[in-house]
Amino acid sequence: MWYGSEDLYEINCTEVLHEMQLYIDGELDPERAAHFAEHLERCSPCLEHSEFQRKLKAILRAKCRCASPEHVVRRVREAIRLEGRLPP
Amino acid sequence: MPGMTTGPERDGQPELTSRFERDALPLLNGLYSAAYRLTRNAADAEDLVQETFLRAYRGFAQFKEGTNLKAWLYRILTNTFINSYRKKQREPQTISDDEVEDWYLYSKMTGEGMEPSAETSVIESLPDEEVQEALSSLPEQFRIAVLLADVEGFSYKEIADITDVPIGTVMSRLHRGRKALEKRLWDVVRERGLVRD
Repeated sequence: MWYGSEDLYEINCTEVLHEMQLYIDGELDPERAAHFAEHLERCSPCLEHSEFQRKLKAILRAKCRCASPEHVVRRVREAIRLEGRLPP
Repeated sequence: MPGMTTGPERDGQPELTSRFERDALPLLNGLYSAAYRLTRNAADAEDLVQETFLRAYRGFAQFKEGTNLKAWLYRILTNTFINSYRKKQREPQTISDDEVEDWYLYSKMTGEGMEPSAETSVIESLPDEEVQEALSSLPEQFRIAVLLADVEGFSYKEIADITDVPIGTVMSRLHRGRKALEKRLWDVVRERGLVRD
């Protein structure tokens, strides 16, 4: 992918693509992340792409979590209690 | 054996038990959710969670207070799953993704000429079960990496500690696992007629 803003900023579009995963995962060091965010402010194609990846990650989290049924909590507490640890 | 003491109280430290109840049990919900994604069914998820908590309880005296309890519990969960609960028949452990380009889903969606805001709402409109099934379809090591990073929100370093591999391996598994997941999601979106082929 090529968004055409090469060399304009501290981080160019190629580097943004290369480091997108780290940025979305919050794994860039703070200074690099600030440069990355600055690039996004000025480069709408990169912003749109990073927003897509950010939302995709959020959707995955929202859709793949489920609450444990109440009886599972009871069952685990009971198993531990049966070992003589927790008060009944 | 009835009356046999194998857990924290053996050493006469009953406060460990109340600390376990206070600190570990509230994390059960998240662990159950992860167990469900790993085992793919409710009965095995329940067994896996119970086994995880019993092991954690028995080893709680060795857990250093102030360190990462959540990561420690997920480590026990992951190890217990790998050693006991995963399917006995061998599933494919690798992904052939040479032909899947980076940022697969985004490329496909923008290739459809969609408005940027419409792209994620297509995925959002999928039933939860479809997205869960897509995640579950990944080979184990990739499923675990994506689950821990994207669903449970662990850092690369934490995932490396939980799964006992270097951070570089975590990053590679995430990269490849996400590509495969995006490919799968694209197939689902297409099969449901939500985009033109």
